[in-house]
Amino acid sequence: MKNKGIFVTTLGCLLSLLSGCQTEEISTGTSIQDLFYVESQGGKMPVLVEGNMDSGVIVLWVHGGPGGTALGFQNDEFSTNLLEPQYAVAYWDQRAAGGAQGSNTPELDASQYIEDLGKVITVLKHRYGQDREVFLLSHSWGGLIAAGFLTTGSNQNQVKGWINVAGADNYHKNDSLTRAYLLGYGREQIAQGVKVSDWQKVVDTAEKLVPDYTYQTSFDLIACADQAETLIDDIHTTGEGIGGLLSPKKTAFSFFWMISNAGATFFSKLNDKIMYAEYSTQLPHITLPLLCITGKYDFTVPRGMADEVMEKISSTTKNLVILPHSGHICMSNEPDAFYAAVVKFIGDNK
Amino acid sequence: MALGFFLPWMSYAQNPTENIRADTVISIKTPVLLRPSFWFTNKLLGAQVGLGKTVVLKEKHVFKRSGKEKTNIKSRVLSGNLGYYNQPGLHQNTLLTAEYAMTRANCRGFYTEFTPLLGVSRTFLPGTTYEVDAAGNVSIDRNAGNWTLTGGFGLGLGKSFEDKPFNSLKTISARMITQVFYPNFRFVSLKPSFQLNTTWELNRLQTLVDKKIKYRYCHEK
Repeated sequence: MKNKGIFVTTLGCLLSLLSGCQTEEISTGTSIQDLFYVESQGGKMPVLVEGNMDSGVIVLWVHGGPGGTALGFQNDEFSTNLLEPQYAVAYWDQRAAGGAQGSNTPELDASQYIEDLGKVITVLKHRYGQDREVFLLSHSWGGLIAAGFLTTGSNQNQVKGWINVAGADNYHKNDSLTRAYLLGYGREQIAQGVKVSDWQKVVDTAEKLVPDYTYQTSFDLIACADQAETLIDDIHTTGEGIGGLLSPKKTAFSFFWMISNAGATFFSKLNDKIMYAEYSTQLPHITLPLLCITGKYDFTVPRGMADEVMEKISSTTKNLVILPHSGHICMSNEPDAFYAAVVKFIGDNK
Repeated sequence: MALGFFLPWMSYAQNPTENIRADTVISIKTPVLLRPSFWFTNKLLGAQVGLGKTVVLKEKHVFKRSGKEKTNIKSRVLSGNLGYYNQPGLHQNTLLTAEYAMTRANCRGFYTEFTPLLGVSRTFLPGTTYEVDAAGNVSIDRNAGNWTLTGGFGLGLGKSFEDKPFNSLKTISARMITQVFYPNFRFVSLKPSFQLNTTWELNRLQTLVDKKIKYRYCHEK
């Protein structure tokens, strides 16, 4: 009986120790670092907030993928040194991405990601104050989520501006643009005698990937786009790149968990479902200040996507920045120019 | 030289009934095993304690023509473990697992190990976890985490002590464990880690196990 009592007491102490970690700690200052989670439809998604909270501005990264990671990839030396001293930056790992965890979750669907984004913004304002100005900084697949969120109801009232980096808000159109750019640029390079055999392979592959696009052809086009970027010497490479994911300095990031989550996304039906996802037709609803950033050599999400957003959105304040030495990961290719444009846009519109 | 080579073999041949021993099974008492472990990666730190029982014990003696004897000892130990690890920024985890350690040792006590394991895990998230209801109200989930099944396997190397260096320490081993958690977003998540293990004999708690002893004689040239 006595032993049973000791066992129950020990178990109670252990559980209270573990649950005791769930105390709300909210930081203020110019160099904060807070980690918290947002739970939505069974998914528990980490949000790491770093930087200058006294600025009154929170820049929320909506990372690419699906299945990428903001804590692992976007939270790099450039964001830390060039953006965080100016504003607070929220690195949110989406469901089935990065360090997100969830054992009882429905099948992945784009609508969940859009709902999750709304909840993350709600929690950011709950924690740090309703007067905080939130700017969305979306990249690639994140552009689809951001566009989906901003064109739904009155959601855009929750944010102050949208920085759309190589955003893919229309997957089907994106595939057509990728193919056209690969063929056009590739043939140009062949005509100029630049890396002829390599470009010929790219062109040959792209020629075979004809509409009506499937997930497989879309996947192959992206692989082809990645290959094309490696052939362009004019693209600047900086920082640790993908290798940075192995850095032990990364805060609240687990490489193997990220890989597992990437697998969860890859083997789900999400990629099939989003093949025809598009928010292009709803873009005129958006009246927010907009900054579109794209890399000159981005074959994955070509400039045409940014042109469409610029043309269709109803905002009176909209700027397009084309980084001349960048591919799809332009924030790493030209970080100084990238973050200078981001900081200026926020400064002008906060 | 030639005579020296043939002498041991000649002794079997001359009187085989005296030298060739038959396979036997004997029932012996083995102590219950206490198995504390230290668990780590570059980011993870934890500990595990288990209670195990030897369920299979096989000893194989191979006599070579040269007169040398080679001994292999195979054992199977079934253990129940309670583990805990903390991976800052990801989660804290308590695990209840059963494992079946299959070891193969040589006569000097060095052994290799393959250990499948199965159990349940309950994670606890390291930061405040917020829920937002349909009306936009925010609340805190104070016990946020996940129940999952966990499985996996470990590969290890160890040393078994016949003359125990102190107290009742029986083995020291190191192993790499690849643990699988299911479900995580309807898929599996993997977590490789290292364990340093020790096994201690609880001599007051004894269980019976059939020890199978085999003798084999190499007749080939």
